[in-house]
Amino acid sequence: MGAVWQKEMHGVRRRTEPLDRAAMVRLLLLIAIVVVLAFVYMGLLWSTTRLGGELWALNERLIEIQRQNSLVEAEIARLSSIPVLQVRSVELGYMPAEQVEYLIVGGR
Amino acid sequence: MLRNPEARLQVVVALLVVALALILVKLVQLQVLDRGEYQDVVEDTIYRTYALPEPPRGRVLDRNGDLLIGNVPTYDVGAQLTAIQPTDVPTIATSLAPILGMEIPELMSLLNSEYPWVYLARGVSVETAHAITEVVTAHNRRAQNSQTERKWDWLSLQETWRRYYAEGALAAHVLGFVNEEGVGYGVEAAQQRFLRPQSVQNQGVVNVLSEPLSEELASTEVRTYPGADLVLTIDRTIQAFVEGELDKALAEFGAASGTILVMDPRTGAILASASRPTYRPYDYMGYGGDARDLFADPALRDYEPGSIFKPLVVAAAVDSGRVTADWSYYDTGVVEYGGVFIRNWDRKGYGQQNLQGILDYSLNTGVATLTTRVMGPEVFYAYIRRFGFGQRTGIGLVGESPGVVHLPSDLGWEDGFLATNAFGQGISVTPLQLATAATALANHGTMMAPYIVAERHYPDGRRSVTAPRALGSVLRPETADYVAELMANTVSNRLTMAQVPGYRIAGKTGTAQIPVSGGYERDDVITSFLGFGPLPDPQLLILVKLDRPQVPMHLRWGTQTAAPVFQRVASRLFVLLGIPPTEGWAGP
Repeated sequence: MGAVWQKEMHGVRRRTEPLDRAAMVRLLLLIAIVVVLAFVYMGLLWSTTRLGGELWALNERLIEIQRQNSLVEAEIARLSSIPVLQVRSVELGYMPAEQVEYLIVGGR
Repeated sequence: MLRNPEARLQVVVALLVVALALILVKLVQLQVLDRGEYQDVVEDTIYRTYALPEPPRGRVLDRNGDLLIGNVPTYDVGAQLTAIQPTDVPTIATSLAPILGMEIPELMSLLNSEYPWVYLARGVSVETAHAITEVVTAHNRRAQNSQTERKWDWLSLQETWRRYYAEGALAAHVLGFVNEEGVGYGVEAAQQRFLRPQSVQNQGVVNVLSEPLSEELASTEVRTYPGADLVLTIDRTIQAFVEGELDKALAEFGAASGTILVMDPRTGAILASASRPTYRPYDYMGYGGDARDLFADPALRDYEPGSIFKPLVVAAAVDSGRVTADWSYYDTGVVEYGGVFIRNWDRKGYGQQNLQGILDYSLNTGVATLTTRVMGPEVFYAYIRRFGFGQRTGIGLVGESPGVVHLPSDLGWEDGFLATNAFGQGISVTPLQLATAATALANHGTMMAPYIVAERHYPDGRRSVTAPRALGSVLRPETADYVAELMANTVSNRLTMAQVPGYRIAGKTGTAQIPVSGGYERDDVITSFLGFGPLPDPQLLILVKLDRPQVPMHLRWGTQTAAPVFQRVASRLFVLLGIPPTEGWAGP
């Protein structure tokens, strides 16, 4: 390397050194802010995604429970329906009343 | 060469610029020139229609909260045929056909069809869906460790619902059904806009499982809502009892069909509405396309009512002030009006008769005298309109007939209508209209609008309660009470078959001829009984109608057929509903 080139280079560097350092600090600060913002954004995105997934899963779970509940409700209704109760009554020895007479009780 | 670092730097910079330029060119091509094409590809990939599983329809409950119509979860089994290897079809058919209850060739034919996607079965039970899942899971586990077998990822199980009628065919005409287009009969069709659920089906950004992404969930409403539950005024115990009594009556009297309507005259609430012949609403598809008459509610269809109409004519005459309690006429057995000769049912003359006599002996000449000589068409038809005949009651059920009322201003009017309408001929009304009009007699002159939906329970917790609605004071209270007393005297004096020990009942029989082209059927009749009680504040109104009873001719009357059915139904319902006997009433 030539002495002139060396001198020019080092001379320029020396002259601009204080200015470069300040710019570098600002640049690093900017990068740090961008990185922090990026992390915050990523964090929010992750959180939203996770919550969205949980919401979806809860919705599906809710629907599944509603479906199971409907099935149980229908089964209860079947077991307590009039045709089933009639059959059960006969099985238990009860007979349908053919002739019903109602007595009027005075002095209610 | 290029020993000078500055020169080398320039070369590197030039290379970088060229590379950057190439990237820029490609970027411009992708982002600007071919933008539309790639945009379509992206949208096809991530924008899909997604749907949440369909929520259930609203339930239908009776007035005590017992389930009448509910839902059971089912599944639709679908197949993406484009994802099936033709060589796999026999294996798939052999594995799934027994579970789906199909023949293997039938399933193979479905799997080999030319459509890209087909339903293999619809509305299969939860157990069947679980069995299918087990078979598919077992196969996929084997396929994971196999070089030759492919995973069965072409099969889908879509959650659906099936309507469940907890009491079977009970109250079939009231409950009804809807088909897939939402069209049908009964409460199911009439209340479709409340019963149907709010599904979620959106276009949006989805993941590989076709589930919406979080931003999609955040930006749109993804909650589904089931339909609103309905609480009816129907009481399933009363309904079952009334249907049983109707069946017995049809068998006992050999009637082709019939209807029993039970109503609370104080509110207009329908407690039971039974009609025969009936059908199974959960199996409506099995009746073919020609079953409209079977599905339509007979309580909403019009017919010529006959003598059951007479108390309303008497009430109109009294309320209009044209007659008073001491009015009477001389019955010669025949009245001529407009070229029509009106005769009594037994063709006899009853001599001097008053209003009580008209109802006691069901005198056609008496009511014809009231409409033709006492009231005239203006007054009589004004009352007919007031009672709601010729208009729908607005109960909100499908297929309600307004009935047929001829007015003097109508084309085709005949003077004779004024005489024949008096005893329920030449005029058509529905059983529901008759019962509604009779609420005016039972309810001290105030006619109540009939209703069948007592409450609606919305999925967001709101409730709307149907308030009883008065259709107006059709009669003065003293008129209504007077005519109710006349009817009660008729039951006490002449209708032992309709009496209920301990309860003062007002009632009237009807034996109506059936119109055919050019006249009336010779032998067949419609017998009926309309009664309410216990007086003085009736809590129950019952209409019994039996079509074409096949008993000996001398017994083919409302008194011998419909009245005893009323008596059996009323006796039991007074007890079931805890209605106390008439205070101080020792009976006839």
